[in-house]
Parts: sequence; C-alpha cells; structure tokens
Amino acid sequence: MEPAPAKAKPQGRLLVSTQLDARDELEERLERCVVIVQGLTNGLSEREANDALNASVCKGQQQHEEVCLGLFTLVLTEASQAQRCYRDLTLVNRDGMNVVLGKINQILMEKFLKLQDTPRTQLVWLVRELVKSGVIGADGVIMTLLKQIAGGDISAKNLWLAENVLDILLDQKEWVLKSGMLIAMSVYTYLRLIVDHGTPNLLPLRQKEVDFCISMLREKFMECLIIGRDLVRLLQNVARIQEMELLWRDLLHNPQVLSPQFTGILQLLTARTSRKFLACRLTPDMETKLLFMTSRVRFGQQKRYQDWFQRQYLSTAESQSLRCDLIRYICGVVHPSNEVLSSDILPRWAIIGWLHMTKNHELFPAETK
Amino acid sequence: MAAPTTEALFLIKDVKAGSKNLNIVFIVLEIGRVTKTKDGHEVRSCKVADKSGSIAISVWDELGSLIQPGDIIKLTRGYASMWKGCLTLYTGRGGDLQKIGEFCMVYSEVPNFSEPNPELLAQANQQNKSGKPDQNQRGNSPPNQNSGTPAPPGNGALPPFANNPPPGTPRDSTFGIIGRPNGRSPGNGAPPVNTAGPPAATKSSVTISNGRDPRRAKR
Repeated sequence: MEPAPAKAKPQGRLLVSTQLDARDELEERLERCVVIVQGLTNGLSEREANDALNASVCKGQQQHEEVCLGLFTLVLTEASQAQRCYRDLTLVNRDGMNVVLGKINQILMEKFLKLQDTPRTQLVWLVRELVKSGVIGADGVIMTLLKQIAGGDISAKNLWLAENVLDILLDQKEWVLKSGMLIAMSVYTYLRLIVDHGTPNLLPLRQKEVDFCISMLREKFMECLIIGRDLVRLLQNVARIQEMELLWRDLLHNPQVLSPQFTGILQLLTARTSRKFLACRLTPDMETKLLFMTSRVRFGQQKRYQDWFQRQYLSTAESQSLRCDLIRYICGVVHPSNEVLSSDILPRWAIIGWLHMTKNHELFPAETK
Repeated sequence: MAAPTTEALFLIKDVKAGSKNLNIVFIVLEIGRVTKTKDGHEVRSCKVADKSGSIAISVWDELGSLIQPGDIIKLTRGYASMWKGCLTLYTGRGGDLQKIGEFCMVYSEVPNFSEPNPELLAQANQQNKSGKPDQNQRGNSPPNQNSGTPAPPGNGALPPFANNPPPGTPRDSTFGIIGRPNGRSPGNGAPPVNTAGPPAATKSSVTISNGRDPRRAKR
C-alpha cells in the first residue's frame, strides 16, 4: 500500500492550492456564503430570486453579510454570471458596499498572490464596476490594487495588472481627478513602473503610462506635489523619455506653466515625502517579510531569510530595480522602537548591506539610475 | 477527523525516539536530495526547526516535492524514531503535513536533534556484524503503509552548519553580511548572538549522513 494522504483536500474556486496547503478559512467562508445564496435562489425566476435575496438581507446583519459576500464570490468565480450578480448585489446591499470593500481589501492584502486566474481577472473587473457606480471608498481600493503591482517584475501576470489598473484610471479619468491622493499615488506608482518597461516589447505599455503621468502632471500639478521631493527623484529616473524631458524644461525654467502656484523646483525639493508613498511600492508580502526581519530576526540568524527573500523577489535581472525601493523602505518607513534598537534584533544597516552586496551578481548590468 | 488545534503542540526539543502523536509547527530550512525506495517511492529528508532546535523529517512522494524552504508547516500525528543513528520525524497514519504560512517564524538551528548519535551508530554496526537483530534499525520503519525498504534520507544537500567565524576573526565583522567579512562592524559593538546550544552541537558539520551516497553505502 502506498502512503496515501490522510485527507484529500478539494480544490477551492478562489485560491490556488496544493495538497500541502492547509484549508483557507477565508475561501471556505466565502464558499459557504455562495451555498447560502444558491440555496435561496435555485430554481426561481429572476424576479423571485431577487425577492428572496431581499427578504433575507432584511432579516439581520448576518444574513445581509452572507448574501452580499455570496454574490460577491459569485462575481469572482462565475464570469458569465458576474454582471447579473453584481446588479443583484447593488440592489440588495444596504451598507454602501462596505462589507464587500472590506473583503476585497482583505483579499488584496493577504491572498492576492494565490488567486486563481479567473478570480483575479474578475476582481479587477469588479473594482472597475465599483468605480463606475461611484461607490464611496473605491479610491482606497484602487490604491490597494496599485500596491499589488510589483516593482521589478515583468511577468505576464504583473504586466497584466499594471495595464488593467491603468485602463481603469484612463477610462474613469473624471472620477480620478476628484481625489488628490489618488492622483498622487497613481503618478508615484506609474512613474516608478515606467522604469521597468523599457524593453522593446513593453514600449506600448510604457507610452500609455507616460501619457497618463504627463496628463496628470500637467493638469493637476499641485495634487502631484503632494508626493513631495521624491517626485523629483522619480522624474529624474525617466528624464530621458521625450515627454518627460519637455516636462523637465518647464519644471526648471517655466514652473508657472505647470501651475500658477508652483514657484519652482525648490518648492518641491523642500517638501517631505510621506512614508505612505515609500511603502506603496512594496507589495504586502514584501512588507510583511521585511518587517519580520527587522523586528523578530536576531542579528546573525538572518542568512536563510535573506536567501528566501532573494530567491522570491531578487533573482532576475529586472528585479534589481526593486532593491532601491526596498532600501528606501528600510530607511524611510521602518522605525524600530528604542527597545528593538538596543536589542540584538537584525539592524537596518545589515539589511541594507545585504541588499547592496548582493546586487550585480547577475550577468546583465543593473538598470542605470 | 479530530481538529488538530485542540491538541497540545510539541516542541522539537521534546521529541524522543518512540514519541508518537506529535503535533509540531516548524519551519523548513532545507530540502534534501530525493532518493527512491525499492518500491518506487520518493523520499526526501528535510531539515526543519522551531525555536527549540532543528530535526530531520522524512517526507514521501508528492508532499516532499511540494515542500519549499521557508514553508511553515504543521505536522499532525507525527512520530519519531531512529534512522541510521539519527532521530527522524515521520508523518504517522491519520496524520498530515499542512502548510500554514511561510517565512515569518523564528527558529533556532541548534541544537540539531538529528545529529548522529555515535554510540547508537556504533551499537548498530556491532549488532549487524554479529548477526543479531538490531533494535534501532528494525524499529524505525517510515510510514507504516510503506512495505518496502525505507530509503535513507538524502545527503549532500545539507551544508555543514557553520555560523562560527574562523578563530581570530573579530566576530563583529563577519556576521550580518553573507559570508564575506568586509570590515563593516556594528557601530555600537553589539555582538551578534548565536542561539545558545551545547558547543558540541555547533561543531558538527554533517547532520544526517556521513556524506557518502546512501545508495552505495548500503550493504
């Protein structure tokens, strides 16, 4: 008899998993909600189904949550029914979509890497619908979605995400213009991503990104100023691109063209950049791991963690651009307490040393900065 | 199936040969080379650890191919026995290995509880020569369902445990940077700390096998 696994775990509809992975509680909860919704609507006409769902959500908060999350999960897993389910969701929802926004946030921050292809595609579709419907809080979701686009990563999945989120921003430009923070975040994100998209096959995408950034910078310069002095750094890194070069000329010699309130580059250089921006260029998983290293790992014990991190995020030629983001994060975002500083926990200079020392191990030269 | 979370969790340091019903959470440090058993199964010996120390676990077939260094895994209903003089963990009948996370777990590589116990090994060799049934080698069959000869754990992929700088080098300048002393030293002189363990444990360079190909070593 061959050693058989004790329990065979059925594959869920949301997350990729192997025989080794433990059951995912979130996935199980959402799938239970689907069962509840299907139980309420099976065999009924559209009208009757709608009535049944409405009746259920009126019963209480728990039922409301179950129905909304069930419909939400169906949107993610059943592309063909997504439009209808989303419409049902907007009809029965009674909390301004908060329960759904919360779950989206949780999925983005904890499970995004493990999403199956259809749910990932559908999630982006849903976010676009939320934006179109004018749901309050959708700008926050877009910013969390931007955070999932990894720097230094030109895999198909990552490029797809970069392009599709950009499409939402382009498509819903008027809505974007209403939020200063969103303008600043998306400009910060795409100016950074442009650096990764310099190879010939990526130039069409890069052009889209350039056009977007330029339009934001020229139409809403004071909002972009929210970024602070790091905006100068970002613009320097893309200065050789034609449109950016023109922007630079105005920045240096003709600042009023950009905005009557803009007095010149010094104004920008003296403005602090919030930690929020430095952090937004790390995916949740990168942040979790770096923070773990700086708060729990003892000095002398870090080698394996460094190797694992490196293997996951720093093993390709194009990933080298990520090192700068990581170093910036360590310097600007990680502020250990005095307690940690005086302990034997891995100090920040050691991590920075590691990030510097393992650079240039590849055959390709690092991207010129 | 009983929910594993209701049972008490063991620490690696409490594992002894003959322990059963072990529920342990550990992080995977290294995966050994895969070896084939006589009846066509694949076995890998992995070095795993928790805050109390490290140990070897033998994993069969698909699960072994899925495990990655850095995985945080919960073993349920495991057991431990001696394999060629080394304490080794196995998944028992009704037990399981489940990945519950990755990376974010503090561990101590020392003491290595799977270090070959020279006394036991010598005993085993003695008894083999004299033809007597060897208590150690018989009692350690891996997963009970496997009727074939258990394959020895993989070797060669486990680098010597060597976190000690060569004598004479100021400790400060070696740690923190991957392997290469470069003169940088911690500004405040805080010495890097190796988790406490019996000095004998840290000197050992081979944890599972004696470095020879187990397939050739079989008599």
